[in-house]
Amino acid sequence: MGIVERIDRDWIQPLPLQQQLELVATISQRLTVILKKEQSTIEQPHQIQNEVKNGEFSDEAVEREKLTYLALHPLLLEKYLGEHIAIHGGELVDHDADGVALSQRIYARFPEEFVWIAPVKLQPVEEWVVRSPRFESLAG
Amino acid sequence: MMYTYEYDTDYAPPLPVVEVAVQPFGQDCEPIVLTAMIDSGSDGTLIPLSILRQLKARKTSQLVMRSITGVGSIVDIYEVTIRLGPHSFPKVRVAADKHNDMMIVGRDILNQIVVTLNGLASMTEIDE
Repeated sequence: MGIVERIDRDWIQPLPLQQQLELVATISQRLTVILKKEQSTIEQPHQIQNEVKNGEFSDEAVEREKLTYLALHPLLLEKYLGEHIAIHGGELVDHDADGVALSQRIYARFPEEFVWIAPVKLQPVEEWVVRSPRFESLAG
Repeated sequence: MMYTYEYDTDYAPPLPVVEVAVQPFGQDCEPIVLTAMIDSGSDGTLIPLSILRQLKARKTSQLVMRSITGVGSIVDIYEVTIRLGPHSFPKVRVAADKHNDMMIVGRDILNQIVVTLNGLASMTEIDE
């Protein structure tokens, strides 16, 4: 199964239909904007600015780094399986077998910017199961 | 030394719980003390989103969380420091729970300590 199919199965299909439609609309708008831009004006990874809304990192920032993580996963798996990685601005910025040390460095280096920090596991999309029936609402 | 916590009798039958001190990772601020359900059926630890926002904990990733029926949803992961009885966990990746107001301690933590569910005494016991 390719990365696109995996993203669709693991990240898109769990969303309610309305959110799937909104996602398609957002991606379409983004692609339209990108296609209209000159190559030289496309934002480079290192130019990405902080994106904080209401004291939290924006969904756009999270989505951007998540997509980078998913795209890089085959490479990360090859080199850093079992380690923790940090992705910012569309690129791998750090890695460490010690997750605490990695987060300390990343928080100091990027105090106000979203950085995707996660362990590298065999599957690109990490899954947790909560077997208590009272948490059925999590899916809603 | 053993730390003990009475079961929550608001539930029938009573629910094994513990008291947990939570801080945002890397910050030396006053912890929030939460009552948490012991749930060996949960792969990971969950904290209500409202608490994570109050703590100003840092979001660092996402994952898919599946319920008992296999239905999945995407949840945000935050990094926090947790203290449970005599045990300190400097960095725990916890899922933000938008739908429930009780913290859940899952197997990511439970498998690192000795927990006794003393049902006859209605006490959760945490060994040093």
